[in-house]
Amino acid sequence: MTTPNKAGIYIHIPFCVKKCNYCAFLSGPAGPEVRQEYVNHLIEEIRLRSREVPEADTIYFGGGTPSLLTPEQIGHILEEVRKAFRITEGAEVTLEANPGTLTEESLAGYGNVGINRLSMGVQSMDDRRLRYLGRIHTAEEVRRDVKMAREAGFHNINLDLIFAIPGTDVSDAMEDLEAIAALEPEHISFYSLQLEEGTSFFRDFEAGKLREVPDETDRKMYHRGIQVLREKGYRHYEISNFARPGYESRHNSKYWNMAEYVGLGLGASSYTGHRRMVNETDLKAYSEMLDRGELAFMEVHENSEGDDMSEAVFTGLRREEGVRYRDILGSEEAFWEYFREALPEAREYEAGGFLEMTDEGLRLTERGIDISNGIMALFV
Amino acid sequence: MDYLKNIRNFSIIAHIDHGKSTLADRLIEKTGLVQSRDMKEQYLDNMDIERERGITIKLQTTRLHYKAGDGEEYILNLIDTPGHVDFNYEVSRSLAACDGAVLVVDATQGVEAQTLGNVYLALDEDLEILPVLNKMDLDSARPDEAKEEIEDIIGIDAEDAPLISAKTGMGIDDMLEKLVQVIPPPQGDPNGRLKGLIFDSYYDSYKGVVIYTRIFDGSVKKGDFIQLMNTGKSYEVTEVGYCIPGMVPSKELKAGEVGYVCASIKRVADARVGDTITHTDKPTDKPLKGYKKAQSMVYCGVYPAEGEKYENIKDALEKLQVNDAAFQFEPENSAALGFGYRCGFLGLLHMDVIVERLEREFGLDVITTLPSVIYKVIMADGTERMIQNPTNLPDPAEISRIEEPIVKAEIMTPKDYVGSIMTLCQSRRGNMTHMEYLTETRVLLTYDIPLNEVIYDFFDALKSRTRGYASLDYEFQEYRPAKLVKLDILLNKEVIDAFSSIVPEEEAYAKGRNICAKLKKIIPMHQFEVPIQAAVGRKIIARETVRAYRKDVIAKCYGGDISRKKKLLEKQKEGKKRMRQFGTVEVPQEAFTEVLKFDDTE
Repeated sequence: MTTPNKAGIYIHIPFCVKKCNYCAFLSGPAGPEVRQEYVNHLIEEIRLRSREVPEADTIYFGGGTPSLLTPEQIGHILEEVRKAFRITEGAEVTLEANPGTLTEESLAGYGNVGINRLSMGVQSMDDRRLRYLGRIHTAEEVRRDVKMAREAGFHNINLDLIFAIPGTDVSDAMEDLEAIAALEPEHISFYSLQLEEGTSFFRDFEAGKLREVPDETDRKMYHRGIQVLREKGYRHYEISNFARPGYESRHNSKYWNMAEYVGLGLGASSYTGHRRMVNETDLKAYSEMLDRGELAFMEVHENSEGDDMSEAVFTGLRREEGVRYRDILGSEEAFWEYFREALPEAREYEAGGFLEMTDEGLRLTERGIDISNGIMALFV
Repeated sequence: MDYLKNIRNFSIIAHIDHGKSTLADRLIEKTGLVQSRDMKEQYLDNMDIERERGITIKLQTTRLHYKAGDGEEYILNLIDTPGHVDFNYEVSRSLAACDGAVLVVDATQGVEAQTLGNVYLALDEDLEILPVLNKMDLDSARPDEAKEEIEDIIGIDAEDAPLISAKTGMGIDDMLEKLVQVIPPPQGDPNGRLKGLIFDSYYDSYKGVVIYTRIFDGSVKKGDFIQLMNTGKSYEVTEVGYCIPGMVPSKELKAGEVGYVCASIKRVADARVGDTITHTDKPTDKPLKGYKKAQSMVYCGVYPAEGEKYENIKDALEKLQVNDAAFQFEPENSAALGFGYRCGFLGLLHMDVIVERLEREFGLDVITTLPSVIYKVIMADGTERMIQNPTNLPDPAEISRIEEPIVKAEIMTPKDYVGSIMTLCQSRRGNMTHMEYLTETRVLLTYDIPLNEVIYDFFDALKSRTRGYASLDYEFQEYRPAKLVKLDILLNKEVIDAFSSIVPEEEAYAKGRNICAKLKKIIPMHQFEVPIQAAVGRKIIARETVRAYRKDVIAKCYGGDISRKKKLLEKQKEGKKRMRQFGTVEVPQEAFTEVLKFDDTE
């Protein structure tokens, strides 16, 4: 199996102003001291893991709300990353930034320390829905912050948008989408709300206080959304991601094409040297391990060749271009020899218009995306 | 007969998770038989399924040595009891083998139903009861309230109940001291005629059936000829001994003692729990009271799942039967599922356990059909047929009447729940025959109720409506005529015989709707619409549709967490393997049991 040779660096910042109602990520409010202490541990981890990959061309600060760290802190981390890893000239360096946490100064500061892409968690452009989601900002603040970011010189901006928020219909979702598109971001992440265990939404759901948007409506929103964004010149390059040509997220693409990535920070996932690792998810344990000078892994899984193969297929199927037999097993014959048990059902999905199968490879159709888990499961 | 005063035969009675097994572990550890480091957790529950569900099905017996404060050495025989209404009879026989019982009450929870049911069984056997309060290591322990409950609800003195923590070992010594003081030594005449109670038996491939027994009078040794009084058969004893645990042979077993007897018996069905052992040549005049024959109350079909071999199932069922007197089976076939077996069980839990053992111990992939009771069908020509499988119900035109088994159900409950129990029983076609205040707060309700209503989810419903406080016991009474019809389920217009059931005519509509709604949730999306219909005869009485559309996509793949996503897909694939194809429709195997699950929204 061929693997792209440049890696990505992911850095998790587990802090936010306040937990959103739908959010199941490792994140929570914390004071400035805790944040600084975390940065120190992060730097410790960066040093311990230096040279884990030969070269990286993307760096991604995810969260949480990484924009709760000051430009100095971000700069300090980046400096350490550049010392520990060879970073390609012109690397994509993304910061997840939440509206309501940004100022002209901080934006300028992030730019100065090397951030060249912003990913903003907008989620909706309707104040009522924003409040319902538990967001800390208004739609007006989003407009203001995007404008501020442009003025600070950011030319590569992603805006996240959630659809299928309980109580919404297709027109609500399209309103949100139009309002987001009107801000003319280079990249839009348009994804369906997932009820995750441990969230406030999930508890409401269990208690019968929250009704999910019906699947039919959810899918109408999705397919209508794809159409709208396509008409506006966005390429639908991954299940939930849309970009103007040339602005696809290079970092996230690594997850879908089996490139290596070094995950740093609390609970971060890594894939290097055909091993999948997950860091400790408990802040205290994470900190203590690093204080002792130990790597903070909670899980290490040595991928077999078969693991790599099936992961390559199911992550690859998330992409518009799908997977090529050549990249995975060298040839169509070899591919179907290896996955022969999946073939009869794959043929059925093909006949049903859910999967395209050519002599080059496989890709999901737009309808196929709706039931993609079932198709992907054929290959695990 | 001096040796008797240094023996104590006792059981531990506890609600499911109040710590019976942990306490047993601690006792075994304290009395030095098993080194701590060799302790598996919950030593007595030795089947995986028991361990997982925290229930005990097959009994374990242990002989412990304890040196008490008075300087005397005591032999403590701990006799385990199973923990479910399906096995009430087995529980009562275990208790009959004891002279006392340790009642474990969770000091954080207080008295609960199961405890109560078993306490009453123990009182029926005139056992001395030693209450102890467990989980005293927890901050939430409320010993005073728990004591009060024991006194109010059960009516036994709990003032001096030892406070223990089975988990940490706290208070165990004190408890053991109390145990030898409170629980009386056994009585009996070692020189009298042999009288021993079988309270459990299991099949060992080297020794044949191993009988667990409590000797009440006389003694038994290797070479004796013994008779099992209820089956009437005689055998030569090949070995006797104590369970320490693990079998340790001894010269003899005599009055007051607990141990095992082997006599080349081939099937456990021949050494049924509750039977009396005596000498063939010098029998005792009458057997111990309380013997009942094993009787299957619930039947269901067991079929090989996709790719499983029929012969494998047969082999496994035969092996299970050797060790389970209450389990029966015979071949049958189904249009939907092919060749399989109709199996008879004591109750629903017994059924679950057997099915799980087939899957786990034997690695088999099986499908079970809706459980059913046995109906008596009186044909127009006057002949009678016993129907175990709803599919075999003859054409209504040829039937004169159908009769169903009625049980006498005794429900014991705190008085606050009488109202909701009455509502429940009424909705299950129950007929109250008696109501009695046992104490100011405890009531005994007696109902005649169709067995069919009891087997599905009655016990769950009862527990849920009484916060677990009510206890249930039932026994077969008689067959009575009832207006019953066959309810069929159709998937994509085809009758799936394995889903057919016999239901009261007036409930057919509600039941049909309920099953359709449940199937709608369970059956996955297909590439076409799947109609689910319920029908009585030709008439469709309920309908649902599985839309050809259901979202099944992970919207976002966060932060490269591929492992989690992969696990999800693996789970999905595993689920798919367990699908059963009916024509063009795929049905998950759990559908067969899922449609029965208790649902309090009914």
